[in-house]
Formats: sequence, C-alpha cells, structure tokens
Amino acid sequence: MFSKFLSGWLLSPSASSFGPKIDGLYNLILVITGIAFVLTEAALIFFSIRYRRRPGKKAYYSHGNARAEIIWTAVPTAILIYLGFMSQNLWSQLRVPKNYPKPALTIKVQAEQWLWHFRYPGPDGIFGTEDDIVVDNAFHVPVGQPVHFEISSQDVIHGFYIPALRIHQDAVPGMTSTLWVEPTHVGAYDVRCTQFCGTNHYQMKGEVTVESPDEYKAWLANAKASSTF
Amino acid sequence: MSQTISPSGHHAPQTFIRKWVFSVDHKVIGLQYLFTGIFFLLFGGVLAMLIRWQLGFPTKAVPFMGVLAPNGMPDGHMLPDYYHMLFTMHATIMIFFAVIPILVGGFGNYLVPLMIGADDMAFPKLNMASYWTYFVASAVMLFSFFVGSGAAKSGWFAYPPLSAVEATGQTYWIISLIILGASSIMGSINFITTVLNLRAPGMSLFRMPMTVWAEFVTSVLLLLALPSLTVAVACLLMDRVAGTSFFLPAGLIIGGNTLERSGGQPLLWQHLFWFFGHPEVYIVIMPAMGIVSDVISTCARRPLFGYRSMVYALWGIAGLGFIVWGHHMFVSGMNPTMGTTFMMSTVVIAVPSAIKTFNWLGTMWRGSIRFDSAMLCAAGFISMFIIGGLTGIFSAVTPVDIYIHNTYFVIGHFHFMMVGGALFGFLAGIYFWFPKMFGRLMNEPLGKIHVVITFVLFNCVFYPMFILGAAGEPRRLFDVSMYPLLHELQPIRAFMTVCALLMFAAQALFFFNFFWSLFRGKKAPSNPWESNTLEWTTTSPPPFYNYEKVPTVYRGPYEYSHPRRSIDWHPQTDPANV
Repeated sequence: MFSKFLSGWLLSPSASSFGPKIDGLYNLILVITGIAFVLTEAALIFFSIRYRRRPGKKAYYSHGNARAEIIWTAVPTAILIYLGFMSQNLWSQLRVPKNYPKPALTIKVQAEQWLWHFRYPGPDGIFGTEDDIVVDNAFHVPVGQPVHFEISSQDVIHGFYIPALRIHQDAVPGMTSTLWVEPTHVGAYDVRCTQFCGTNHYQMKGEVTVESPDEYKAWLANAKASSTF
Repeated sequence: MSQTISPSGHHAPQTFIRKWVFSVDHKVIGLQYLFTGIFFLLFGGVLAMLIRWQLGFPTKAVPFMGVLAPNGMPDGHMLPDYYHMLFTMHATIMIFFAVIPILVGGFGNYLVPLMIGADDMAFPKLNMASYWTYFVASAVMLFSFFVGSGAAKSGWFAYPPLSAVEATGQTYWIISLIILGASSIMGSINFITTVLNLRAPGMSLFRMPMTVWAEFVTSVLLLLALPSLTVAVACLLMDRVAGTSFFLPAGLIIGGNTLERSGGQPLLWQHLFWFFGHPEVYIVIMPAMGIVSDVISTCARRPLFGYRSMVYALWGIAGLGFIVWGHHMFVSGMNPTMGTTFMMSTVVIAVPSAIKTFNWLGTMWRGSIRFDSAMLCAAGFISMFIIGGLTGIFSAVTPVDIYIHNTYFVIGHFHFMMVGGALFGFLAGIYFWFPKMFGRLMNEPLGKIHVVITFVLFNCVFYPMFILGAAGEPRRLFDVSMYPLLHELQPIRAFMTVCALLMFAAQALFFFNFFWSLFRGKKAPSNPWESNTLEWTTTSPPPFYNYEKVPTVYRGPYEYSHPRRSIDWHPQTDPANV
C-alpha cells in the first residue's frame, strides 16, 4: 500500500481518446516540477549543511546578483508560458463547443439531490418526444464514438466527474454546460460527484458502462422497455 | 518602566481595563489578536481532528463526542451533516478567525509600528475598534454552533443554491462575516496609513523590513478584496431571508419543493466569492513570507538576497492575485475562453513566488546560518512552500485541472501553503519575536524538537493527499465506501489520521514552551538575535511609547557581515558608516 507513495503520482490508464493527451501534459508537468523540486530542495539541504554557522567564519556580504536574478526569473517565466500555450490547444479542443467532433449520440445529464438522470433521445433522435429514454445513475455509451453531454441540475450544483474518461463538469441549475468524450476502452467506470451538494453528497455515485455498439444497442432496447419516462 | 508619557505626550493607561481590555496600545491589541487567534487555531485544529477521525476510522465511535454533540454524533458515531459542518467551520475558523487575525492583526499590529519607529498605529482608537469588531464577529460565529440546526454546513465557499436554502446556521455565518469585513477594513486602512505616514526619519520605503512590506501589501489586498465578499454574502443573506434572486435561477426544485425565484445566476456568486477568495490566499501567505524573509536574513547573517526584487515580487503577487480567481472555476461552466485567460495569469503568478524562493535560497548561500528554532521554521517553510507552489502548476493548467479539480490533490496543494506556509510562518514569528513581546527567551532545544516533529508529521499528513488526488478521490466525501476503488486506499487514510493526531498532540510541546517561558523563561536582552531592525533597539518588552526618543534610520535592514566591520551586524540606527 505504501509503495504507492511514489508510484501513486502516476495516473491510472485513461479510457478516452483525449485521455493520453491530458496524461501526457500531466506527466510533462510532473517531470518539470520534479526537477525543480529536486534542485531547490537539494540546494536548501546543501546550503543548510555547508553554510551552517562555524566559529570564525563570516558570511559573504552581497545584496544579490543581477545576472542570477534575471536567469531565475526568465527561465521559469519561459517554461510556464510555454506550458500555458501548449495546454491552450488541448483545452480548446476539449471545451470550446465549436471545436467538438460531430456527435454520434447526445445524452442530457440532469443532476438532482442525490442522483443522476441520463436522457437519451430515443430512435427519432429528438429530445422531448415520447420515445425518450431516461435511466438513473447507471448509463451506457458505445465505444469508439463521440458522445456529447448536455449537463444541468434541477436543484443545487453537482460535479459530473468521470475520472477514467478524464471528463469533469459542474452541473449548474439554470444553465446547460456541454462536454464531449470519445471512449476508447470498454469497461465500467465511476461517475463521482465532486461538488458538495448536501447531506448525501457522498452517496451520489453513478456508473458509465462503455461497451461495443452491438451490446449498447441491446442495452438501449432493454432500457426503452423499462424507461421511467 | 519609570516613564509613562510618550514623546508625543500620550499617557500610559493606568487601569487594568484600559491597559489590557480596551487598550489603544498597538502592542496590547496585537497580543489580543494573537491570543484570540491562537484560541481559534486550536479550535479549528480540533475540528480538523474530528474530520480526520471520520476519514481514517469511519466506523469507530468517539464516545466523548456522543456527550458533547448528541445530535451530530449520536453515541459518538458521526452523521454526514455533522461532517459537512466540520469541514465548513474548520475552513471558516482557520482562515477568518485564526490565520489572518494572527498574521495580520497579531504580528502586524505588534511589529509594524515598532519596525518603522512609530510610537503607535496612525489611528489607535480605530485599532481598538477593529479588534473588538473582530471579537463580536467571532462571538457570532461561535454562537452559530448552538442554534438548533447547528453551524453552517455548505462549505466555506458557500455555493448557492445550496447555501441559500441551508438551515439557520448559515445566516449567522453570513452575519458574522459581514461584521468581520468591517473589522478588516478598519484594520487595513490603519496599516496603510501607518506605513505611509508614521515612518521614523530616514526610514524610506526601501529601508523597511520585509515584514513591514508584507503587512503593507497584505493590507492593500484586504482593503480591495474583502468588500467583494461582504457584497456577496449580503446578497446571499437577501436571497435567504428577503426572497431576492441574486444567485437563484428560475425553475429550482429542491427537496420536491418548487422555489418561486427567477433571474439569478449561481456562477455570479462564484465570481464574487473567488474575486475575494484568491487574493485571500495571498493575504494568508504574504505576512508569513515577510516574517520568514526577516528570520532567514538575520539567522544566516547575510543581507537579504535581491531585497528590491523581493518587494516587487510581493507587488507582483498582489497585482496578479486579482486576475487569477477564475482558476477556481475552470469546470464550473464559465466560458472556456475565460479559462484560457485565467490559466495564463495563474501560471504567470508562479514567477514572483519562484523569485522569492530563489532569493531565500540565495540568502542562505554563503551565509553563516544559526539554526535557531525560528530558522528551522523558516527552512521548513521554504521546503513546503516549494511543494505547495509546484503542485499549484498542475491545477493551473486547464486540461490537467479537469482531472484533479475538486480532488484531494487540491487539498494537499493548499494545505502545503496554509499549514506548511502560514502555520510555519506563525511559528517562526513566535520563536523569533517572543523575546521582544514578553521579555523572556523561549527554550531553544524544546523549540527545535517541536519544529522537527511538526515538520515530519505535517508531511505524513498532507503528502498522501496528492496520491489520493491522483487516484481521483473527490473532496468533501463523508465516507468513501461507496467507491471500492477509493476504499482500497483506506490504510493511507488511517495513516494520515494517526499522523494528524500525533501532530496535533505535538503542539503541546509548543504551548508548554510558550507558557513556561512566559513566566519562567530566561530574561531576554533587548536584542537576542543580534538583528538590525528597529524593534530590537528598544527594551524587551518595549515600553508603552516604544522608543525613548524617535529613532533615526541610516541604512537598510539587512546590513549583515559587512567585511569592514568587526561585528557581523549593523543596526539601522547606527550613525557610523562602517
């Protein structure tokens, strides 16, 4: 268990098309900050030992060093701004609606204290008609196809977080937020509520099953029969 | 103290009430803030221990809590809403009633007039009013624990609609913060005026010690940021009691009841709150940065490396601090283009923090470092500030934030700043200025043991939070057993809890040292650390009027180890050139 204290920094594998890109950025930051961490902490420890007070030794008198200060201002600035620009592209692919890929499926996510409703448009592909399918907490999506989510809430703010798919969006009442994901690995993954939403927040758990298109169709047909709508 | 009249003609107070209760002396007010703040620090710590107990050992009862809080913890078993109240009040108490009052009200009040050579704050009566207003606010906050529904339990961030419909404790929470806002504005105006107008002859701005700079910049932040919170909570109060809809959109159905409101916007609250809330973080850490700068320079016997850039870095942090609030809202539903803007400002704010870190290390470089307890705290501060700062980069970068937002990663990150930074800054300040405040020395060996134990245990408590965060564990879960993947990590949580309890217990060493030294400590000379700054030129403790005659300042505060001097320090008041 405690071997995780170092290995725990590595994220468990993602199951969405952009997951590896997010993880790549995470790993890049991990390497950069790791190096910065080792260098600065090593300097701190080294200076603490090397320059501890010893009788007869006087400290060096100087008020600084302009060149050193310029270097250690410029280098972090350059690295950080580079990180910012690098991330900007990925962020706009993930978040700016006009960049979303054309969806194979749109699901409306409605949060409520303390459960998730997932509404599928049904065979006619239009929401708000009689063939809509609504399921609670557990929902399914086909693997390898872009899915859009339209997320809202009917009461307080909830957090729609599927760590394995690397997606995360607050469900805010009075507004609809959109997200997209293309799952790449079949499996069942947690939906965790991340925005504190009252007494049973800790029990507000959902589950997404990513499965082959055929299995998904079979599930949908079955769900239609038992839909709560 | 033979003389009881200050150079400007003020009489020292004679009665106990005027001297210790309704005092206008900045030193007494500073100590009032300090002791009230320490009380809340302990209280907030107890709340943290209860939180950790629930996280580490969720099924085990705490029998005495069954007696103290029979509604929240029947038979000692915690209920979810009691846990929610605990994390809400832990944050509220620590931020508003412990850390800011200690670092700004306590150290600021005590040190700023002394360090700039003034005989008091610019507005002594306003200063007294500020403390007593804070006292009233804290009384209201404490009272909220005893209302029927218990204290607030919608998080210290109090996001509506939840906070708009929560039970009555939330209303007291709001009223308390409105009162506290008034106190804070009085205090910050006083600090700003004092620093600008009451400096001794020769004390130019760039001869001020970093502690004064830090308190000054912090006061500017407080003055500009806190009104945003006051406005926000006032609107929230109206939403709660007057039927307004600042933050409540149409069509809310809460607990089966339809709310007849329309036109509000929950994200408006988040903008107002974090416009205050992010500068707030710097309000907490900056005074600690100032204290640590002074401690390191004095103990390393070296001029502070890059003094001017340290000052500019403070202003840089203060300025940028006002345009980064949106990084709390990357996944809130805010326009994603705004997300990019806030990401850029947030990564850039890491630069002045990096500059400060390098300058502290540069000050230690080729020094002659005496590891007193205060210096140990300062070294611990640097090492944890590095971790807190670097982990902030993960959260700043928007795509990565998608994964770690609202997870334990974030809790780890800011506790390295708030505990590793602010708490260690507080401890450094106490170990350093205790002799000045009380005229006695603290026990150094005991102090060192306390600092080392606290440092080790602190890391054992908060480092694992990064691991939990990387596993995608959401914050604020009363119980993780719903999630088998997270439940697997229970041994880590138990380990953290045990370390947290030990860390809390280890503070007994500090309090024993503090109170024992207060009465039995060795008498302190006026300048035990051979420091240059003004406060060490007066007696320990200083008299009512601070200085026998107004000091004249001839040089900057960090002239240590000048090669042509036989001693390795050079007080700011010494007229001799070398």
